[in-house]
Amino acid sequence: MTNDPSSKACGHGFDFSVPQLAGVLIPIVLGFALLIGLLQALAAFKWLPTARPVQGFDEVLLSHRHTMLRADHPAEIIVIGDSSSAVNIEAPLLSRLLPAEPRVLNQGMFMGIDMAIYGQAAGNFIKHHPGQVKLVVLLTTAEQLPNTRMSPYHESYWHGLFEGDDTGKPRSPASAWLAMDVARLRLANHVVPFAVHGQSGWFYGHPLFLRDHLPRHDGSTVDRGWFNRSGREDLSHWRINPDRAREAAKLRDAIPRDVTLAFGIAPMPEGYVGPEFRDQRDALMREFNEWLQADILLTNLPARLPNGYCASTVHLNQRGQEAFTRLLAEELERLGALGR
Amino acid sequence: MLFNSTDFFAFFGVFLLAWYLVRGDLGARNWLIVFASYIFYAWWDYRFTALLLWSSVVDYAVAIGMGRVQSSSSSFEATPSVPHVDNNDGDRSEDDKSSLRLRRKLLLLVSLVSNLGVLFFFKYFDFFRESMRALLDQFGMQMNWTGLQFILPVGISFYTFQTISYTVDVYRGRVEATRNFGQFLAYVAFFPQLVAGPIERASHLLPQLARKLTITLPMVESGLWLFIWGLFKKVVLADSFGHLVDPVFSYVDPEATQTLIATVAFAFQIYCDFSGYTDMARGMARMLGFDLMLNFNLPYFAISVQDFWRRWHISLSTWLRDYLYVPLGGNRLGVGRTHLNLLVVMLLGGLWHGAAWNFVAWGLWQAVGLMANRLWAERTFARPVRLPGALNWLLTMLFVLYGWLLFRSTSAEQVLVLTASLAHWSPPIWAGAQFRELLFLAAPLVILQLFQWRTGDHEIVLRLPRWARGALQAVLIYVILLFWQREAAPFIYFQF
Repeated sequence: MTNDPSSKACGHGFDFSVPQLAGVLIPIVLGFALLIGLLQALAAFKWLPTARPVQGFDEVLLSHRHTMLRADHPAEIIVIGDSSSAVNIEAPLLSRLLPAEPRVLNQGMFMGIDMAIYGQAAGNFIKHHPGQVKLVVLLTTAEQLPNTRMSPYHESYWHGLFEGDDTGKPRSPASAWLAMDVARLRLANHVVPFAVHGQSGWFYGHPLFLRDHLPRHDGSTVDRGWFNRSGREDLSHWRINPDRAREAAKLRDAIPRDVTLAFGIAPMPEGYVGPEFRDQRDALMREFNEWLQADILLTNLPARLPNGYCASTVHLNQRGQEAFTRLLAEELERLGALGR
Repeated sequence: MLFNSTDFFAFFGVFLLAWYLVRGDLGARNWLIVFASYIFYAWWDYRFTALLLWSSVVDYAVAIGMGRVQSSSSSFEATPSVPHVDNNDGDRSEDDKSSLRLRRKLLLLVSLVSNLGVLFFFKYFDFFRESMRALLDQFGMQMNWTGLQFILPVGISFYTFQTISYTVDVYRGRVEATRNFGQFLAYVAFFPQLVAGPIERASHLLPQLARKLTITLPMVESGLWLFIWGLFKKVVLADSFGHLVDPVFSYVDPEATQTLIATVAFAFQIYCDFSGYTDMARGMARMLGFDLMLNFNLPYFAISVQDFWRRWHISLSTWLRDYLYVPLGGNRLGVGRTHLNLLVVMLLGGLWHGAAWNFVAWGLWQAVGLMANRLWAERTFARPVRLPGALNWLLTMLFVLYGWLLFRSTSAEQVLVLTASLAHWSPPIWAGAQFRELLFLAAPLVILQLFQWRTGDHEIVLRLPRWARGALQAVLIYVILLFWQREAAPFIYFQF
């Protein structure tokens, strides 16, 4: 590479040879390759600690939901759905508010995954606890119904849990080849003290605290945010995604017919949707139920709540959670949902 | 195009190949820089390349105009030995000289109006309009000006200041106007430092563009190290610190521990984000054979506010000193005027960062600190008391931290809420996790900088044996990939 043209018009010259440059780059490339080789070998010989899916909120949540499928829990009511179900319903409070105080287990997950997985979170629990569960409450946000699925990673993570693999499937072939998931789940998560990201981090701190919080609250979580957006949205263009309809049928199949299935749509902030949203919500609910075939539609639940009760367009905050749980308890009692 | 994106790596790979191919031709080399820099800039919004070109063309022409006037003026001044036979001729040459001076001033004015005008319209017009509207509202008056609502062209404050420094230096006779358009375009648009500095002086960068560069192996080694370390600071440290910061600064009722941890995290975030960018810019430039100025000199080791400003964003602080503070009179016109100059410079320095009142408040806070620092150092009020170095450092850091709280806040109300929150202490369960994360993230930076500070050697890593440095770089690259986000987080200073 050495060239030193003496011409004045010369742009630049390299005062080193290719072997000299290789002498700089090879230690880096070699070090990188050795590191990957070492990680792959340690994983292959099972010399690394077990996977610790603690880095993300989602992994902790899915891991907890999977653990609960066979856990010794006396739940008679199971709550399922997207993150609105995990966040908006406080399971112990709902239990206290209902006659005879039946135990409630929150198995709510999040948006972006196959809704059939919500069905598994209830159906498998029912299968492992025969004759125990009387009611399944499905709560989703209206936002979920028009959406297409987004996160194959989380779906494969969930399915992997059934196969005893809690590392999650690699996000990409390159990620597998570079041993990124091995490094992240089996190594980094044991030594890196990263807090949960976002607002939740300031409530739960480390993901391990979230893991502690979930069993103490029968699976319910809290969003500590505060909705302060202004300007309403016109959501009249929302239509149910046909994929969702197919998923709904699978969800229904996972719940035995002798268990009552109630379905509701989570409220949205008054600052985000207008009063006309109620009619739209009811229409969406009825249309979706053509596939879902729920036994009870929770149409008396509020379609909107004041901004002060909301953490975001799809989540309630702690204050909203308590209010909504009370309204849900009243509605379930009014409909005699447990006595069916 | 962000340095921390896959697009950029593809772009830089192609650029390096082209760089190798044009090594034999100086003109082609500079035009390659121009072409690549405009592609790089157009990646955000191709329309704003017109602004970049406008700034360059105006200042190129203005400087040449001033150069012509200078040479005419010199020809008058270079012939003093010629006896003036006719008194009228002598009078005319004096008139001509003052007319030439006036022409030079007018040319400078054209450059300043053009550059600052563009900056004002794109960055400050809506801010001043909104402030004026709020002020008139107080008096029950209505204002019907509509806002321009322009998108802020990325890096506009950086390249505008760079071109202004060029025309002012030509005006002052410190730099010769370049007649090579390609060189000048490359000076303004040089992509490694185009959007977030360092704000290079023409006297430093232009000569490098005008001559043949020799790229040595130590330059490649140090450039590579700077680039990897800068990328690590951005992708791993700055973006992770951001997770500790953002929730608190969008929160309604924070507690003291939250505010404190988030503010300290922001101090690290903004440093890692900005100095990470600078390191990458300097590293890339060095691999290409260029030298860009040092922009950060261990700022969190400062033991006074004045010391902090000698170490933080050096290319801006020296710019403000040379093109604003000194022309205003600097410290030559007495204590009162010195402090007034400091106030003006820091307020404008604050406003340079963004069109918002929190930046003005931050500038004011820094000005107050610098004034207090001067009064203390000159013992105007205080008795000659020498504080221990550690105490000096602690007081300086507390001052700097509160400054960052002002800087990061989005409203006066938030500043008040966060400040008041410092009085509400409680033992929350999350504090341990957040604090541990803060320490964990800060550790690699603090450890390296302690070595740099103790030895006074910024490139201490380059003294390691090659195999050890290679292993360290390999680990850093692996961790960068571990933290790599498909959607790259933008650099904080891009918004300025």
